[in-house]
Amino acid sequence: MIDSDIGLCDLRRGESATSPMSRPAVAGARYPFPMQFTKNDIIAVIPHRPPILLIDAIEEVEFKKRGVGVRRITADDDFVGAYLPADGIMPRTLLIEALAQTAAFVAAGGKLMPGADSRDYPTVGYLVRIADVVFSGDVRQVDTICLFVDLVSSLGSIYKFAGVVRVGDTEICRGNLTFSVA
Amino acid sequence: MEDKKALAERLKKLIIESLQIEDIAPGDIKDDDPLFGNGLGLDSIDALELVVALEKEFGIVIADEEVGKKIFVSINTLTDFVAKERKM
Repeated sequence: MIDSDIGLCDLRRGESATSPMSRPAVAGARYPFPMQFTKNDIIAVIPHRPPILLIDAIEEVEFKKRGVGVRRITADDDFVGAYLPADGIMPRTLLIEALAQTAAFVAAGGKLMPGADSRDYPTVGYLVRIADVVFSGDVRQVDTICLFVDLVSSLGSIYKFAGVVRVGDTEICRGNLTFSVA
Repeated sequence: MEDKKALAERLKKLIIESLQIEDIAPGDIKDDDPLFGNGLGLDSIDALELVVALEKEFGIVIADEEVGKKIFVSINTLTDFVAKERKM
């Protein structure tokens, strides 16, 4: 399940959307239960397809709790040149979509595991609330974005995630995303 | 430990602040008014926000939707539940 899109994010023990990068971390330490998934795995779980599929791989995940998605922005991504061409940046709203897709995989990807009952996992989710979003930078072509999501809470069919986007050690965006799933 | 009346007022403030409800004061919410539907008009997304707020404020974890349906009926039901289950 490992391919060249995996291993691009700085995964430190306990690092997540709710534990800022500035927190002391053990260099080189990995999350205790890393599970990695490729784009084909992602396509098997969420309905998004290119060009709106915005994650290349899942670098680690604890289903229904937290995960880290990754996306390399390349010359093939039309949105870089089509949105504020002079700046050559990725539309900031797409960062929210990328976080949402990572959260969707965290919520539903467990169905890929051997012996899993797909009825225990949602088949579709809709964003119903975006809150407390702060953009502190931009993503440019050739950047690799790391998408950290943590489940804040869930009740019935409503899931709330906290998300952070980073390029290297630099935070680009953070916010809370709430979904209604079925 | 605060009495039931004080706890009810605190919960009304918590609801208004955590859900960012405008134009309603704690005194406008009656203790037996329905919180959802035709009462205060909260919805399932608000319910999850209340779950998060209750955990932060009182250390109470509510993971079961059926439990949520029982305690989010009114301020009275919510107050009784928090008084019984609060960790802080």
